[in-house]
Amino acid sequence: MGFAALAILALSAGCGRSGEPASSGGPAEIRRLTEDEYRHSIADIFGADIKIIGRIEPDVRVAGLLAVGASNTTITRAGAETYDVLARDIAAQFLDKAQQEKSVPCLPAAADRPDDVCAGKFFAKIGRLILRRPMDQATLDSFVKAAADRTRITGNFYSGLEGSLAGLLVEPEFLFRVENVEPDPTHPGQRRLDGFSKASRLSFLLWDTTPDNALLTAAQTGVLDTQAGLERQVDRMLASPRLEAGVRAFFADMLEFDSFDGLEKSKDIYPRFSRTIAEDAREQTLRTITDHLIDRRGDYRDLFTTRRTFMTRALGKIYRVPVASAQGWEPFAFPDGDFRAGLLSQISFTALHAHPARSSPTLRGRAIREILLCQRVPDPPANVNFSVVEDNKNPNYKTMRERLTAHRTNPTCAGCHKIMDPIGLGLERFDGLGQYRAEENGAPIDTSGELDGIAFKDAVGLGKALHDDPAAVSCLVNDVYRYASGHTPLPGEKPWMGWLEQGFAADGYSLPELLRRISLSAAFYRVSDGAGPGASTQANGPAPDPSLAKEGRS
Amino acid sequence: MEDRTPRVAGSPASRQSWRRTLRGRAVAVSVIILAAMPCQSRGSTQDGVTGTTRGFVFEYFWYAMAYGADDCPDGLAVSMEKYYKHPYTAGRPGAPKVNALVAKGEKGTEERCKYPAAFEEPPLRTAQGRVAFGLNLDGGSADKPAPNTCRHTKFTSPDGQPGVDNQLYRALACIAAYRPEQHFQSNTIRDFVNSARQDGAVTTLMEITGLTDDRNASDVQVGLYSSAEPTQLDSERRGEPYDSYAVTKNTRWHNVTHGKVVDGVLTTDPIDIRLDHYQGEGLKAHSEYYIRGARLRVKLLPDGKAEGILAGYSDVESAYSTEFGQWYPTLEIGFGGSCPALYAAIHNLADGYPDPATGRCTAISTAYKIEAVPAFLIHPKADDKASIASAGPENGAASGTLAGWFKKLGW
Repeated sequence: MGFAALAILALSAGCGRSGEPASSGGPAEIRRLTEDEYRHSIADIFGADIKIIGRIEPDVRVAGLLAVGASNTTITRAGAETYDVLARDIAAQFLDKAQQEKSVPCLPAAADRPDDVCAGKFFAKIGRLILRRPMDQATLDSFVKAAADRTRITGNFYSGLEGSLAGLLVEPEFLFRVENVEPDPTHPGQRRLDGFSKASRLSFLLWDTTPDNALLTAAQTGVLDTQAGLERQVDRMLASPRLEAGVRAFFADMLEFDSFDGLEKSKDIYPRFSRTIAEDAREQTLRTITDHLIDRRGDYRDLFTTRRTFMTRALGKIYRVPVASAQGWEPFAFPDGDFRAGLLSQISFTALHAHPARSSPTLRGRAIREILLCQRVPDPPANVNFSVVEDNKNPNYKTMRERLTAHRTNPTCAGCHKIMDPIGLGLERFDGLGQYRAEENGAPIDTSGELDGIAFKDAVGLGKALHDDPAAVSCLVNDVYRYASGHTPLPGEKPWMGWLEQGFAADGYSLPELLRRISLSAAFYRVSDGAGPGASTQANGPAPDPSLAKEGRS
Repeated sequence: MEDRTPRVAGSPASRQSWRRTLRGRAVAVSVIILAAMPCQSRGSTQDGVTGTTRGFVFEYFWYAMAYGADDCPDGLAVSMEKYYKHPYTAGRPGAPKVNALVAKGEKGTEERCKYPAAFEEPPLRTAQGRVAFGLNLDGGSADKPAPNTCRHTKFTSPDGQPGVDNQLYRALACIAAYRPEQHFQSNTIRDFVNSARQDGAVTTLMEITGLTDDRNASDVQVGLYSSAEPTQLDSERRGEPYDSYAVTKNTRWHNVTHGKVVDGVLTTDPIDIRLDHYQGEGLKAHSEYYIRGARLRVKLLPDGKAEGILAGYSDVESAYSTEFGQWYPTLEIGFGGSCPALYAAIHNLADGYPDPATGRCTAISTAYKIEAVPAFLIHPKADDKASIASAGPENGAASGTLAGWFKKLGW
């Protein structure tokens, strides 16, 4: 056990529940709902049949995660218009003539006149779900009054509700997850998130959506502030099938799967690429992850070596494997000895981290460093000459390894390429789409390389090296916490992060156990000094620990 | 480590490896892998074959047409429209009546192609050239006709092989819609048939099992199958390699024979085959290839594709019904042919499988060009095959013609 680990254990002693070390806590955040969070919330509040037609403002990736970007962005003028249009449309669908009696918990005294009692019941119920906390009386009254005013103009009670409901859906407290802070009675002088902010953190972390009624009730009654009550809720949420949505959302963010939206490949060079391939490749990896981590309670590290995955006909022709089901997905296992194993050899990785017309050991090496190991790689200088690398018909440099070797003779480039190329070359038998090839321009492809001193022969060996790399574990823990909290850990949170890593190892690198550990930890809800409600990491909070950030990424 | 082409290891050693892989896996995974391993575990006809398996899907399957310059010295075949202006027809007693019916569009004339034997028309202009694609099916030569055949003239193949039998080429090669050069009709029938394949209406699969060496193998098992799943195409409308296809559960369209590979060329033993056939949306004719004594000569290409010829004897009724059974007078005019003349020509040119009672040949030699891309074949389970096979048509080859109906009725 290293010194750091001993120090963590020492810190843990006497620091509260489960040997949890002291933590400064982080800032309370104001986080704009990501597009997925928005869509999931609307579906859960109003029903899955509500159509959300249109895109909302693009999410912003900061320090490697959209979840962190959400703490660092706002809404533009154009974005506000989009939210407004969506809100009106959603309200209209929800209170459509065929739906209104089902949507409103009471019948108005008269359909053509205001009914403040019925409107009050409606907004009290729906407002609590939309704003993720009960509406205070003044707010409730203002929406009831607005509904009555509109009803007087239109002569329709439900039209009045519709107008106010649309207004509720553009409330900042809905579009942003505003974390509120209260004194921590168990630690005088310290502050923590209030119960509703806790509920939101839990729900968006574990289910990628707004808190359900049970969770809000637990927050409202104070049950969520007790350890036993918190445990009941967390265990309920972890046992729910909805955990899959939460895990998918996290990995989609971590693996930068939003890039699939813009993924293009040269039709001349990769004629088999299509949107179906792109969508299936993304889905394949997410299925592999949730099957392994949730259904099988597998070791996170095994994601880099597992031969189990899922297959569609469309993917089968890229992987060149038989797929029995003409439609949909089926489980598939690459046989022992196959050249594919783990996420690195899946199309989602090989295609996403390549150029439109060729593979790229550099992009792949960089992705492994930055996404999977949380290590920063500097951007290339603006005046770099890529001519040798891009000329894949040069008879003197038949393979990418040869071209990159020539490129590295430029000392300006050599430094960075040295930390990317030896890793990425391990995947070089997968072309820019991910199809297997043994040769390039008639020359055999050498896939040997090394990852921080660990030599490997091929993609399977690279996956094994990554499996055994402690940095991969640290990176995941770091990313899960940053995803959950919306900020890069502060120096005062570092011991606690170490404790999480230790626990992750002790729990067999089980992601659900890691999520449970974080969710039950007081440190997760602790708010650091000087970081009040809405204080953003980069704006006015304490400086984050640079070693825990992913910077310089785009 | 070699590339993963659509082949499945079938050697005992590699089977052990797959079994190890399967052990403890989900049942569904087992099903997938077993489905891709036709050579084992399912009690199929491929039991006991060692070596690897390569699968293919046909991206092109139509007559191999040589189009020699001297094929049609008298010009192209005369269309139905012109028959009625032809002195031969005009002078015959029944002609005016039929002609009048056609002119009025009366119902009876629509049946010309369904009941071609009920009409008598001038003979079809047939190909007179000496070159055609195909194989020497009967083993005879120009000097020494093979026994048990009907009189016919042999061709020489474009690459100089003598003794080629392809009498159906004689029947088709002077019809405008079967030829490439006519302005309005060029390649019409070819495009009908292949667009049906491209549109997913008909899919044909081939599987070679027991390849111990891609270039040479003394005994391989070869299957030709239909599939209900559409042929997958790329943006250029060429077959997408490495897709998976379920073999039809209808065992009527399962055809298995043996062959060998010499210098990368597969040749097979003769076998009577039946395969699903669709002539295209224009004709909406779902029927069946019924080719007797069929054999392959297919080159296995280094990129995993295959191309070559399937030659054999088309049952004359099948050949007629698949090609012309769904025609009607408008198409006879448009395509440049006459159903009664074609029907008669095919019977007259038939050169194989003589009827023991009449001595008339019941099948006509032909050759199809094949272009295939690699694919994975998913075989049905044995119990599925049995249930569907019993639901197959009694005799699809005979349907669509009067003679076919008579044959079905046992007349």
